[in-house]
Amino acid sequence: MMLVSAVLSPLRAAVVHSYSEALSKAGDKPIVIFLYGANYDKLSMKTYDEFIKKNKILPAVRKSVFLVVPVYQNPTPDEKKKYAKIMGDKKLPGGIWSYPCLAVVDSHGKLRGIVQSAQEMKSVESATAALKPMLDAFEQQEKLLSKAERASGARKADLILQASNINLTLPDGVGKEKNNKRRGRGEMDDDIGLKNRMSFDPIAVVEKLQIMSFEEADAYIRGMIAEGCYSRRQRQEMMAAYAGHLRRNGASAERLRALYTEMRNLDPNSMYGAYAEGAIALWVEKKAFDPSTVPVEVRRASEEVTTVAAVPGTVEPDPEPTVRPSGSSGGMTALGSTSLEDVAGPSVEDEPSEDDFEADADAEAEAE
Amino acid sequence: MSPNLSRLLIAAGLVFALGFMCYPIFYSVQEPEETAVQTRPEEGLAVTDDTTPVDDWTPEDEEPEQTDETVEPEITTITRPDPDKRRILNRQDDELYTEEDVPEDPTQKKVPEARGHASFTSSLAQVHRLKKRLERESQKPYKSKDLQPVVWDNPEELYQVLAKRVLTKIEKLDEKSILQFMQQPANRLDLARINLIRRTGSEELIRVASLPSGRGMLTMLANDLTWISGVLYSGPSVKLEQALTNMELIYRKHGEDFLHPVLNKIGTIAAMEFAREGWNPEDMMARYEYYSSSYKQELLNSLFDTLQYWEMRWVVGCAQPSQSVGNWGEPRNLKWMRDNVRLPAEQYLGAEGQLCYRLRNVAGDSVFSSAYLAPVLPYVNGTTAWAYREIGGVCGALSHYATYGALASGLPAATMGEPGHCAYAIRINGEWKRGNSIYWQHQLSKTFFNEPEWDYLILTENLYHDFYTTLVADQLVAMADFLGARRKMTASFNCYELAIKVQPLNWPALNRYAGYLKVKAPEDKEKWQRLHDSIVDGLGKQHYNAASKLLVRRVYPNLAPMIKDRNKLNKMYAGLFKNFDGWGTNRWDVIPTLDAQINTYKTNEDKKVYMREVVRVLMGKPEYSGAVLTWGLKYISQGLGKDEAAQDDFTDMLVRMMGQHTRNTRKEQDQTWATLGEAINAATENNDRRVFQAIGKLAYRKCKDKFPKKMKHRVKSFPGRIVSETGIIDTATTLGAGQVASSCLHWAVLQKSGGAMPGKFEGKAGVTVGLEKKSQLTGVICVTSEEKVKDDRPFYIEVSNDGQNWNRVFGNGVIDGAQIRFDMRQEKPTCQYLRLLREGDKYEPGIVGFYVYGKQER
Repeated sequence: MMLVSAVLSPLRAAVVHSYSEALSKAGDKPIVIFLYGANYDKLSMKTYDEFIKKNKILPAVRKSVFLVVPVYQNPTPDEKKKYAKIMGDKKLPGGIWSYPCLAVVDSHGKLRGIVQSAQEMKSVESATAALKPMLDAFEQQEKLLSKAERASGARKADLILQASNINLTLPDGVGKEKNNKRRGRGEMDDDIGLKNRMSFDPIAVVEKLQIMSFEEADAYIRGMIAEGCYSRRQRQEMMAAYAGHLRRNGASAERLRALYTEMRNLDPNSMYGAYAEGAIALWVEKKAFDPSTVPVEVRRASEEVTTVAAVPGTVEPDPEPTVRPSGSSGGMTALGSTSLEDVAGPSVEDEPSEDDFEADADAEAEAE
Repeated sequence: MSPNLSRLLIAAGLVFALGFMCYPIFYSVQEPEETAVQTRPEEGLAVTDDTTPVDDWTPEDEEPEQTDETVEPEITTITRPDPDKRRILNRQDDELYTEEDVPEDPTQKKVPEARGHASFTSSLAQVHRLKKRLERESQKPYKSKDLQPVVWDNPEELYQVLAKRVLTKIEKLDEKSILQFMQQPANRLDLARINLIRRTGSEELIRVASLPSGRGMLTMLANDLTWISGVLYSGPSVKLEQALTNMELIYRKHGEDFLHPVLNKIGTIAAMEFAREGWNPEDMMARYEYYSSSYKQELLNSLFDTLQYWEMRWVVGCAQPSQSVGNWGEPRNLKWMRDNVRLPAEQYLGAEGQLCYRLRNVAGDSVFSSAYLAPVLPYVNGTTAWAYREIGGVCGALSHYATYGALASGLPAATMGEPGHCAYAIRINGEWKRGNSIYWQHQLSKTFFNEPEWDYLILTENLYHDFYTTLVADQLVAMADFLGARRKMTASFNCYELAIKVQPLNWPALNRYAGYLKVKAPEDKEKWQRLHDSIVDGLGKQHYNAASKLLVRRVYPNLAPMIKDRNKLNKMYAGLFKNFDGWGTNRWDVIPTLDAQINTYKTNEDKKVYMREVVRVLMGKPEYSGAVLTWGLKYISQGLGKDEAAQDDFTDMLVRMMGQHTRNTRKEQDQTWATLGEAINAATENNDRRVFQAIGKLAYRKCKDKFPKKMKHRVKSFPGRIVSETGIIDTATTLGAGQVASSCLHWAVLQKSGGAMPGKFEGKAGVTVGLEKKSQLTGVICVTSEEKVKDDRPFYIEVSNDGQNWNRVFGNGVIDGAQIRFDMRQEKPTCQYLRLLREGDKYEPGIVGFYVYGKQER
């Protein structure tokens, strides 16, 4: 019995009762926090009954550290005590926007991902479907970052880039020379422009473009994209700035169509993919959006799959392509494109490979 | 028969026939059927003697038991209406005080004497008991069955029956009898029915009754004391005919809901608020269905379940209901926010942090253009909040996001405008909190009294928080209205006076009484004086802004002309300020009050005495000292016409008083600094160079430590003297409260030692300097607080002789580190005003020095 328990223990969530205990136990594992409105929200209470009382969410939490935190409205002294007992003097991380939710936090207290939309939290099944890939991504990202800590030079930069391509918020300080808690031993050679990615500001691009001619703007954007280090979302933002500059200064409809198509094709299922599609309808095909055609109750399918909200103040991670709702255009209509297709998308080599994880496993074995 | 005789007989016949036909117009054809009214003896109710002090109110447990259930006979025998006979056509206009076509009651014709507190004592004891009774009754709502649907065929006649019944029951028409009458729920229900008929109008009620479910709804409403009280006494009940029409629409579709206390409130308030605001009935139905279905599905914050009718107005009556993109109150948006921004009440304060602050989207489109959100709308299903969460926005979007997050979950909240900014207010644990606020001036988007300032928000909260007291007062006002209409003048006055005594915060009642007084006793000085004192001692104890506005609008115009003695008038005006302890509920604009007071004086001598007195009083209250100086300076420049001698006289007096009353001790220096900062800011707004300089010098004398000792940067001068030293300088940016307090440093920007001033350059917005005299310029130097001035866009100078028409004279200033320099030795332009501008986007460097070199013209 003990043997079975010992074998299974890494697969079971470690349920803890205080936040500080969760932080201290987590190590490189994620902490999953179930937060719910405890004294004001009947929906939260129903979710609590389903997820926690009936123990239904625990299987999805797997190897993580698991904590339940009740959130009170105008708490009574007793409720204040209960909360203080769990949270101590620590505060919940920023980026939690709605209760009930499942927050994925690292051992430094940084919110790395969260399941909080109504659609995701409506049942144990939908919450599990959203949480599972997030925990997988956490594990992958931590492994890459762990390897990056031990690496140096271009390899280090490359590993961080791979980690940042995973659909999860990065830990604080990653890829930054200053205040980098996870910089590790080796110095990083940033030949691939990782710092540019980390410090990318789309509004700065807009400002730069403002006083440029079309040719200058084209050269500027193409040059940035050619650097290859930027995430799909960042490249879409560059394209949005470029197309916006051209549109406001009287570029032809065909040129706009080509640019917006290129922007959309970078990641058709993302928000900016949809933006580009909307821009084509609006400014090329002159079709205004009529909200009355969309029933109030309709929700996008993309909401029903994993969506990880970026925490404000951090670099938006490169989103994984999302599932397009059936019946929609799919975002891949055959429209004109530009010469940049080859440069735009990340190569397959950029994605984390199984080899990386095996190496990690070896390293762990060595460490033990 | 002669032809003449036959003509005569025919004419006589016609006259008779006409008279017969017209008879019903002038005389009642059928007397209203007498309904058996059960008059009740006083049942030994312990009424405190008039001389009993208020503190000796009879304890609750000693109060003799009374049976609340007064079974009224059914009113079913209403005659069909005769269209020519209706007299209560439309009594909506509260200000008209139209009287009904009833004979005057000689015993009630006289306006009673104004009363002191002592004379209210006995009545207040009865009021106290009534309040306790209302509290108890809330546990067991009173419903009657005596009205039948048929009565709505002729509401006019129903009114007559009810009026007779009420007057018979009251008997003596003194306060004691009236309050005794009001102890019974059946009587209060009759009073409410009367109120409903009078305020809706009989024709409109007939129209509402003719709607598919109209009769049933009206009957249910008029038999339910809680519901009808929710309609009439839960805040503004205007456009009742439309409100009832709206209500019928909801009732027709969701009639059963009205039996449920919470759904009843949602339906009632949706109907009333959409009528009040003039919003579309279709949107009202969507709003009702959003909140009722969310409530039924238990998706709202639990606090929503406990909201009363008046509190529901904030939530169910929230703005922007029509179903189109950009409207935050439309169902699609509310649903999304309800499901995706679910927080405890406290956390909605700051929920705007979920959005990025962005003036432009990543495509470079301005947040103020339609292109900003348009392409992303299909992605977010046209959901406004979702779109802004994806794209970001500025203060408007951020504040709406937090506000409507709370509203969508059923919590009271409202957006509010501030100068150049949008903020919001959320009610947390019964207390209103400001969110995303940067300034003291708030214009709330949702109000009860059409008064958007913060003080009225708190007044509304305080008024209805003391719900049962206000309910008593509102019913007394209803009684006063009814009695006034029945020509019972004495009783009507007594009820009004008692109502405002019972609840001194009752803004609508105070306004109503003042209006009544103006019509019925415009020259009764004692009554006006009593009303004035009631406002100062009641409302004016906490709500300085509201009290001042009421006095200015309603009381001063009527009372001031009756007070001939200047000193007494000064004393009365100063009486308003005696309660001021800080700003009250919020900083407010005292200037209109001072303007109103000074304008009641005819001569400049009287005005000067008043100004000296008010400056003396208010300079002793630190918060007001800056504002009163600002007012004084403004009044001198604008209120005295073109009388320059008077202007000089007033200015000298004011500057002298400023010197006398501003504090000298180090401890009080901050207050002096802030006061003079406000005053110099006002001088800038008035473009008053002389006062600007006078205050600047005074500040330098009094608060030397606040000024820099010398300019940090070395400035290489141009030929000539600094002609701007005696000028006035203005910045295009909006100053926050803290910046206003430091405005004397703007004066120092023109001095060699240097000062500090926020700069703003964007198109025609820049820094403007008015010189003492027209001058021939040799150069201009602007020293900024930047290490290096941004050089991607050119700076240039425009000049003017009148401050209105500008000519560009010198382009592309030379940037030298922190300085922008213009060498004008070649052009030597002549002007009295000049401004420094920069092309293109907004740039806001601080300004520490601004020097115009040249030679003044003689």
